[in-house]
Amino acid sequence: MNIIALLTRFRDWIILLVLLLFSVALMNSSPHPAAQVFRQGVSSVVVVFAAPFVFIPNAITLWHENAALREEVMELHDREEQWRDAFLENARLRQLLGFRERPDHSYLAAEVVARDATPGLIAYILDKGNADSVLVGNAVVTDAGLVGKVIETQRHQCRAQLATDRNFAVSARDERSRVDGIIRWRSGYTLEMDDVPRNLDIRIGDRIVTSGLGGLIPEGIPIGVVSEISTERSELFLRIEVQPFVAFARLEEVFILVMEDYAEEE
Amino acid sequence: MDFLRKYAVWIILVLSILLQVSLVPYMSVLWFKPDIPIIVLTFIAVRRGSLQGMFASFGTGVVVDSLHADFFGISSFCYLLATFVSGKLFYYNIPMPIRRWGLASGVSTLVYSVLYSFIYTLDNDHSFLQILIMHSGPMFLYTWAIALIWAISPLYEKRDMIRL
Repeated sequence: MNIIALLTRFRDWIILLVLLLFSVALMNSSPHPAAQVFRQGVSSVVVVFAAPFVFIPNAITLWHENAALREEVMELHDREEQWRDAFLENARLRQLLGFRERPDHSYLAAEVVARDATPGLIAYILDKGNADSVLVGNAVVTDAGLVGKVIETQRHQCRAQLATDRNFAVSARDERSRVDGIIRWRSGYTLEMDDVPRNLDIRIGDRIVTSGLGGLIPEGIPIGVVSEISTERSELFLRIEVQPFVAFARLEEVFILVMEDYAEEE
Repeated sequence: MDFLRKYAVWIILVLSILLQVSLVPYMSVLWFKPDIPIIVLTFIAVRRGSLQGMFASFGTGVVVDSLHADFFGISSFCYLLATFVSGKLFYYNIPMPIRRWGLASGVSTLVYSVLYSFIYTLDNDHSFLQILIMHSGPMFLYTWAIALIWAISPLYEKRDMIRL
């Protein structure tokens, strides 16, 4: 009863509000340039009033979201099954062919303690060593790709040679064409891929990754992207310039790839 | 005759809308144009109350905008507020003295002119004072002058013919 009395009392104001809202809705749908400014004003007012209620979930949205997520989960389950099958099949085939099992590795977080002061060597001192199963030859990486490799270990420290050192070399592979080569430093922060005969398929933009030949550095670690290829008549090999993925000037934390098989043998 | 008396105010409102979209564009001085329907809507609001005034305003605004304006909804918005204010302040259910009508129509047309000009020029960089001087002021004066001319004309004496 009280509500009816209240509605009757404020009838004019309520009707004004309703009709004004209709008018505002009409103005919002207008293509006139001033209507755009008006829309922005209305939106900012609406946002202020709507902000306290944002936390209330919309049942319909949640229902749709839930259905979409269920669908996605089912798809992912299917994909996982396929991958598992493929993984088992791969392992079985490798066993049939007598392939050596790929060594498993784990990521060991290490901090750059200092820059090595040895003349002619570009290396960093890292705060992990023998005690953490770090071996000479282990790869040093970041989330972007290969940084370098461990060249000397002590009990709680190791020395990592960067890929930008003049004596650095690692076996690498073109991810697309599977052509192998050796990655070396060229100049500044640029690398080059050597020992690639000129008749092989390498293109600008190809990703170069580690090939895994040699054992301690696993295959598939991103190194860089081919930025320039030059072929000179007199040379038998291509000159391939590679721009590394890693920003060598801003290294603070890195990961050492510790081979678990080797570590266990140790 | 009785039919005419009964629906006279609505007939006048329709005529004012037709006038607004047909003749008023030729009555412009520089870029100033009067607004005839607001005068009739104010009359409805002050004689019949703001409720009827609001419904009439909304309907008139939608019709005027759909026939005429490029900014849809602006007229209904401005008519609504103007007639609501005049209906609340000057509701007078007996034949109204000219002075009171002058005041009511003045307030109503002022509210309408200011709102209309301000919203219509939102995309311009003009200051509020510039909008008042260049748009609202002339529009208000032009419309109010027509409302006052009607009040002092012999037609005003016939207002009681309209059944309220």
